[in-house]
Amino acid sequence: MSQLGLTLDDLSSEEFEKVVKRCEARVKSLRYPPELYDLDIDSDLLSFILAVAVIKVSQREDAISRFALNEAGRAEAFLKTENKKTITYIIRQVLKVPVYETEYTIGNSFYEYMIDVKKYVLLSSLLKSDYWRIVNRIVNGGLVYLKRSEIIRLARDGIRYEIYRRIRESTTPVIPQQLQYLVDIIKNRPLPRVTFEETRITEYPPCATHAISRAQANENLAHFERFFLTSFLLKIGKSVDDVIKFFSNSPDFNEKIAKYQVEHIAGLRGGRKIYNVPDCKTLFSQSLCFKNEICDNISHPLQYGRRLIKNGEKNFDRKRRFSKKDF
Amino acid sequence: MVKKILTEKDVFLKKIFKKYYYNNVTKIAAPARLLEREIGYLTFSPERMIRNLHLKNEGELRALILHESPKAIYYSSAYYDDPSAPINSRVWKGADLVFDIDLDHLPMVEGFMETFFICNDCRNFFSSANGKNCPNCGSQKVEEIKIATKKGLEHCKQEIVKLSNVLIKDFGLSKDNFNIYFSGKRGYHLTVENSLYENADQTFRLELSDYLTLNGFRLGRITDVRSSSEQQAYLFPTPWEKSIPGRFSKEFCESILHLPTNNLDEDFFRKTILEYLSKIAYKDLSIVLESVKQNLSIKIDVAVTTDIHRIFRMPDTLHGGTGLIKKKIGNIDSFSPLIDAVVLSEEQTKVHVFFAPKFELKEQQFGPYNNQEVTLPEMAAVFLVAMNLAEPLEED
Repeated sequence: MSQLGLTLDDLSSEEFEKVVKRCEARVKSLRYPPELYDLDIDSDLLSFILAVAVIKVSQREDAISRFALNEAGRAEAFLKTENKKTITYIIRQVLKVPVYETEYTIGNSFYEYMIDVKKYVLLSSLLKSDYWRIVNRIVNGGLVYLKRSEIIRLARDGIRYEIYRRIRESTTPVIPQQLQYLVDIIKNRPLPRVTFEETRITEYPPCATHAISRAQANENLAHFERFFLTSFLLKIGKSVDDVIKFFSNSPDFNEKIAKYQVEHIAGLRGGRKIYNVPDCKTLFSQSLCFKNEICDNISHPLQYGRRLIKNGEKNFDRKRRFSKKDF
Repeated sequence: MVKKILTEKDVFLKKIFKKYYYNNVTKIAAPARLLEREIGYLTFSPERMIRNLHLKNEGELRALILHESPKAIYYSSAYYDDPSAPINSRVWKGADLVFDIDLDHLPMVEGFMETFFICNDCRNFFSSANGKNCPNCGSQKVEEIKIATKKGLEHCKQEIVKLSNVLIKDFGLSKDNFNIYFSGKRGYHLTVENSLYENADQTFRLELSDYLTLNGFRLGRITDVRSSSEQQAYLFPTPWEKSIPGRFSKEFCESILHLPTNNLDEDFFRKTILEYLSKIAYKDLSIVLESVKQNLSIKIDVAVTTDIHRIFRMPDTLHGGTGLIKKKIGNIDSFSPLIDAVVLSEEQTKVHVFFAPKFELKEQQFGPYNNQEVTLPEMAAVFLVAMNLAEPLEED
């Protein structure tokens, strides 16, 4: 805006009516009406900036996520229409990721781009499917090979995160009185209705069952397996003494050492850090995953067997994870 | 005259370790960036782990080794702003990438390891732990002893070579980036220093480990076993493709089709694949592909690679469990761990051996022994005592 010599106050004048209208469509996550389609680039950018400011002022976490998702979707749609060089340029500029062009065919897959493997792992970390893991990618010379559709999909997630991060980290602006209604549109939007779930573990996941059965059969558990079982049992509410009993039949059981280690994991000793239960991905890598069909929908052993035990819904803003002073 | 008084095992070992370090301490070089690494060591009885040490230079390191003659000395793969600060308050700056290939993690093949059990109550040795109890006294205090054989260590070496090839080709590392060490007991370490991966977090190291072990690899990346043989043969990756598909195809050609891949003509390759696929049921093909995947996976210890705070034995120092040293390897092809990592003397030493299978050190064969007194070169005596298979006898 400063490059155009404008401030947010200027946008409340009639001259910027279309900008404001487009901003309204943006914050309402609506398609643009036909009269707004032919807006020039500057006006489009101004409507984006105004929408960012309005969302920031609204102090609604859910609005930031929704806005970032919508805008990333729009960016993805644009990227799909661009040529190879432009896609490379945009990803380099926006995501600060070194992207290289290539042409490589294997089977019926045609790869057009390469990304640094470390950056790739970072960008794909939110994508849960095995498809995106580097073990199922072409990796050569420290670069991951990607098809056109794949790099655009990655870019969408990267853009979404970048928009979200930048709005969260920006300072809260002052919206002119005439445009305050845009803020109210968001503020008056009902909070997401989240099912109030009081849950409890009704069934152990197969990974825990396997470790428990091994411990009960007096087998010597590997170090990581012990750590997993201990952290799991503690997390589901077992006491330190209960957990120690689980290991008491191990051939190399030493109560003093076991007590020290269990208390350490429980955060009662040393750095007082309460250790988390390893997630499914980590257990899989450690060959401790024995998934069944229920596991397909979970990414953490503690999600297994959770059952809704109290029905009913509450207007419960679980999305607002940070306080007002963050804005 | 030999007086049958058994000395404390640790007193014996510490004395020999001290003597070795006294004569050879100048051979111990400090790891690069010593100032940023945590140092730790393990004492002889009482066995205690001392950690969070911060040494300024090689001189301090050598002085520590001479003063303590530790059972083992370690350094962190991680770099910290203040390595002596408590773990929660120090700033992690990065860590070497470390891979551990140990016989324990390789599929059990006969001849790779001598495995037997010792009862720590009655000192009975037996070959299999039925029900985890001692067959002699019924005690549960049964310890498994594993001795790596020359054949087993040779196999580990092949895994290390496989690993280094993948790191070079797929991850763009150069041989100058990494060092390979014999661990001093049952395997090898490959350490990558000063690379772009130094600041890689645990998530990346986990992904990398899965890439190497092929954990989560979809066989559908190679072929869709349900599609027609013609289609599969047309789309099957060639052995000269990049990354896993290329290596998979090469392994498939060599171990299943017995087809040499050097100068292989693509048309001939596809024709051979088609012939093979036309004859095999898709269920059997899945089993074959799974076996190729197992052959191709590199058996690293994932817990080692993904731990960004782990400490490792210092090169050129003695392993408290064998008396061999952790040895840096120049030429992997000519390296022989049971010769090159044996550094203790051949001074004759009397020990009482409870049990020992046949073993080899410095091209000398020893054993088998069963509850007998023997005079052995110091290197072999330490090897057995450190492994709890023998007790030293004090000379009068």
